[in-house]
Amino acid sequence: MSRFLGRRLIRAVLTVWAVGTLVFFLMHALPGDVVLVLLDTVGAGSPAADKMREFLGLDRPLHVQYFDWLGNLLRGDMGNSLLGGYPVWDLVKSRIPVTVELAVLTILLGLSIAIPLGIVAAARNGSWIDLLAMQFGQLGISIPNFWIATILILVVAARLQWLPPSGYKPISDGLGTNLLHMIMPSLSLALPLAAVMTRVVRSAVLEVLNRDYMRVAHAKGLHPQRVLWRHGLRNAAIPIVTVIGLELGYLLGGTVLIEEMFFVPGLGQLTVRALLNRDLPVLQGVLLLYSTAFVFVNLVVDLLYGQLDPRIRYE
Amino acid sequence: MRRRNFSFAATIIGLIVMLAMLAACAPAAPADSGADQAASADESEAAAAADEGGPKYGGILKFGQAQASTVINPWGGRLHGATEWNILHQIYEGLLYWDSGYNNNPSLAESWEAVSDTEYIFNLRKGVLFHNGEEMTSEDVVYSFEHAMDESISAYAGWLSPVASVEATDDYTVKVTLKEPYSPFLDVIGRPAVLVMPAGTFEKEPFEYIGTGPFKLKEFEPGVKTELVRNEDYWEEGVPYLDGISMSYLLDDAARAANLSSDAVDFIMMVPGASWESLTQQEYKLFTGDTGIFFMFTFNVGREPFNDPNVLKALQHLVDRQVMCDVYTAGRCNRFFAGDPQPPTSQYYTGIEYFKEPDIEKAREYLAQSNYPDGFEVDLNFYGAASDEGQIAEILQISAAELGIKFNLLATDHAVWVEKVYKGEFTAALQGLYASSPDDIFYGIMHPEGVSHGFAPNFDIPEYNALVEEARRVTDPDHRRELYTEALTIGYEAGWPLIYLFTYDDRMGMHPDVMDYQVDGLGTVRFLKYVWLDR
Amino acid sequence: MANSIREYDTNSNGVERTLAARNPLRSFVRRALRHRLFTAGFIITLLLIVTSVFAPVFATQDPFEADFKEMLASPSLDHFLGTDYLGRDLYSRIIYGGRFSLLVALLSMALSGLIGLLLGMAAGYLRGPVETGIMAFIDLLFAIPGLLLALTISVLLGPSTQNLIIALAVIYVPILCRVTRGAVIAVSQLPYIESARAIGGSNWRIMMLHLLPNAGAPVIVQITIGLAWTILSEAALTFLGFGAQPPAPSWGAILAGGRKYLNTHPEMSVFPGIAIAISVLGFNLLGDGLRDLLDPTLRER
Repeated sequence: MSRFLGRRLIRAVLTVWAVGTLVFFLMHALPGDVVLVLLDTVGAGSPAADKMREFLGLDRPLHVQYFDWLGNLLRGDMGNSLLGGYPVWDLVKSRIPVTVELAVLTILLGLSIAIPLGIVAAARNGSWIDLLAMQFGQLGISIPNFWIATILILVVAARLQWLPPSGYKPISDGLGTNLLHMIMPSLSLALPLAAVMTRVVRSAVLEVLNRDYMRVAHAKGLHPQRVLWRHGLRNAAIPIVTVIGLELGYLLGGTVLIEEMFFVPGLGQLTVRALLNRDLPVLQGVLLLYSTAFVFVNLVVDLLYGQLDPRIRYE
Repeated sequence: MRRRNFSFAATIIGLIVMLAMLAACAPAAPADSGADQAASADESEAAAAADEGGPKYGGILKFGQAQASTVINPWGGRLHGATEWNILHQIYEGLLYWDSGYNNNPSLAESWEAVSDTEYIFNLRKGVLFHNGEEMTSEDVVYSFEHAMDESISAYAGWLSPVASVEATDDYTVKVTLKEPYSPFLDVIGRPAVLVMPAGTFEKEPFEYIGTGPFKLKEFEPGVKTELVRNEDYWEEGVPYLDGISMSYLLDDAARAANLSSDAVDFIMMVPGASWESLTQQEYKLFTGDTGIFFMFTFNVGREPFNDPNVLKALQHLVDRQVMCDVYTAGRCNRFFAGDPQPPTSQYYTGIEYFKEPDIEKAREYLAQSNYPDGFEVDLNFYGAASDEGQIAEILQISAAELGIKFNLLATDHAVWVEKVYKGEFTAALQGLYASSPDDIFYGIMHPEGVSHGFAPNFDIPEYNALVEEARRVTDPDHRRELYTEALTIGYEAGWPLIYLFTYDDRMGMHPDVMDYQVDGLGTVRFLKYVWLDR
Repeated sequence: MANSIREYDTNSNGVERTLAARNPLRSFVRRALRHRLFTAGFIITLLLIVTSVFAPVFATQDPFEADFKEMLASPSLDHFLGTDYLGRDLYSRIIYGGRFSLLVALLSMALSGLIGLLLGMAAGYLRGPVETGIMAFIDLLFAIPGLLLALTISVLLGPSTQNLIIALAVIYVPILCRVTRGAVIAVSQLPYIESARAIGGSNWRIMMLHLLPNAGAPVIVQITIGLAWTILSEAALTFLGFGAQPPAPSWGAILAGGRKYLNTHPEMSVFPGIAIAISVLGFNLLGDGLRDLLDPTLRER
């Protein structure tokens, strides 16, 4: 187990390092120059541009910049934004709660649809509810989330005027206000998620219901409801938890479009701005965070899988 | 798995459910028009409001900008960027300021005097403190002038090129000597082309933004937010009223309007034409100024095929301004251009009407006379991605296709724009620009030494240049108008590389309780120091 | 990005079945016809293909023909769904949008499939350091959120249809590579591959002649689902303005152009979305159906 963990950890760290390196060199290949974004009235070769380049340390050879960045990163310093000079970590830190809140709300909303629907569909296998659930499972993943967002804005915000069309309020403005602004963004993301999860929940529960011990429980004369809840769901939890973990990883990176559409100042928005302004340290910081989160969520899911299912042994 | 037992009909049911959603999306009944009177009504409202009880102190103004400012640059920023100016005006001040009537007023200079055609004396206000607590003296003004005149950092160097020297005669007096008579000089100072900052700022710390303005910069996160706080030591008695200003960037038109109508922000730039009516009905205050952004297609005469004047003439007659205005502004643009881009009310208006209605036959004739009678294919840059500007470019693309001309539209992001397009490295582009004085229009953009020559790269016609240089030295309006008339006639004959479309003002919209807003002459938000919140 | 990129049915493995089937084509068709979901997906996909190929027949107007006097017209007999902001017929643009989406999806999946198959086969068959290297690269691509990677590639290459296809292909490579590798590993342990190797077949020959046909089923399933994913992602990127440029009649572009008129002319925002959903649904059903049909473990139940 510890050998497995050690190997996976090393691989995770290497992957994160590779992402940082790739992004570093990719960014230098992008057209556009951050110095000119800063001093947008001067030419690339002007003394002011040179001065600014020197001030930002961008006049040094690429490999020096690279190792400098890597060295600082190992000391826990992600560098400063090239626009405005704010520490990258401060910028990123202020965005994390927003995106995490969005992701968590999305998962909660998604599960509150998927779990009841999936269980009922599995329990009443072949009934009209099952039919509906499966249809939802297919349709839900086929509808673009930005289109759901558009329709929500049209119907809920513009026509019915129930919710504000966009914008973000921090929790410090009151939880109610905050949630009011978060409902539509998270709902847009939650519907496709709920579709995926409904299918997962349904097939996980079906799988368990067909197991021998469930037949035994039924044969013992236990109440069907009790069998389902006591024996069925606990065992069905394994694949469901796994998928939730993986979905969380995807969600962290998948909120970009929705954050843009609803002006939610999360990590996705920060990334797009940094990309468009060629703010290398910020972009690198966020992408590193994304890949770290993704890689470690995967790792944790694998470990959790082992905890929930004693049959899985790691060599 | 029993999946395959589901009937085929189930899939169809799913589709029907989706189609049923359409019922909820049926278009709203068109509202009556009648909002056009709104603009004039609004302007008197602000004045009337001040009578009731007088200004109140306190509160944070939540300000929704229409573009993301990525940079604070006291030496120019983008010349056409109201967004940057809306911030700069709060932090920095110049010696004079232009009001909405284009008159110069005292700001950091209490008074000024033209000793001769080429010599100006500015008497500085005493006791003005910078945000860092130091007192402003003539030394700081000289430093600020020198940096603003430095071509390597300042966008305004060209405006100040006739300045020979700037001296501090004593702590509170500055003498400016010009190389030759320069009629727009005071207008340039009132713009203001020279923002006053403490001597040595740029060398010490390029990211410090210290001025004398009514608000201090508290936090600036590029493209995300700008927080300003009240300057307690501001030199003008009793102002500002606000405790601070919190700027956010709401780039999407619909979202920006929605943020105003849901009171998420108090004040927005560029009220979208489509929201004008509903905001008026809800008694939001809407302002327009008389000057604004020029929209124009710009062509690089140093590159094929635009080095051929007949190609430019063909395009001049091809463009359908009304359609572009309808698509871009929902028909709310101010003024269509017909030749001379100056407002007809200007005393320098030449009356030249080179084109009026789109005339495809004329366009065809010119193209036939050119070296490209069968058309050509060329790239056209527009700013942003999936932006409204792209829709204007699309209209040109469609009209031009009829002549066999193929424009490949390139959505260009900010970083590439400032590196290439802004420096004149493009073949064709759709651009917007603030230009209000004849000197801006005829010299600033068109003269090789002009500050905005990047909009008309490689346009260099000696006869034309001589005329607009002459106009800078002349003070008699009639004489200047004659010079401009002659210059513009020559310009159109030689192939004018700009296709002026229309002006569309930065229309500002604000909550009914935002009081005493004053419009300035440049389409920027300058006077937030007089604004107060009635709540 | 799209959700269909993630498939959690982990037991798909078409290898044994392909080997077992005596008359693969006939039995496949017979079972396919009984499989309702597959049939539904097949019909939807067929409709999409037919309307795309014969778009000029189905469209009532030229989708590029602007009519400045008919801007933002309401639905009528001339214009079934009304017109857009340039007076172009919305219905015809949506029909042509299907052609555009399908073309982008097919081209990018072809490109992605080519790279993914080669990498996956190399990793799965050659094993050793080649596999470690390839899979490390694949892990790397996986670890960057897809939409952000696509945006970066689009900024790097500049927005255009061609670069859009490249960006979408790159993002899907890791998935196809993993699926191919898994299938190849399973197949290459079978005796007949061993014997092919024993009689001295070259690596290239074995990969092309034996591995490719037999490991193909799961890859075909994955590519079908990839087509659904590509249609969604193409629309998303173009919607953001980083994909196809005007006047391409992309569904994403129609949606983006319609946002401004959401309140007054929701048709522009509603109908392209439905078109996307139907096409994506078609490919998803087709992919799921194929998986069922090609997977013996599911067939037994």
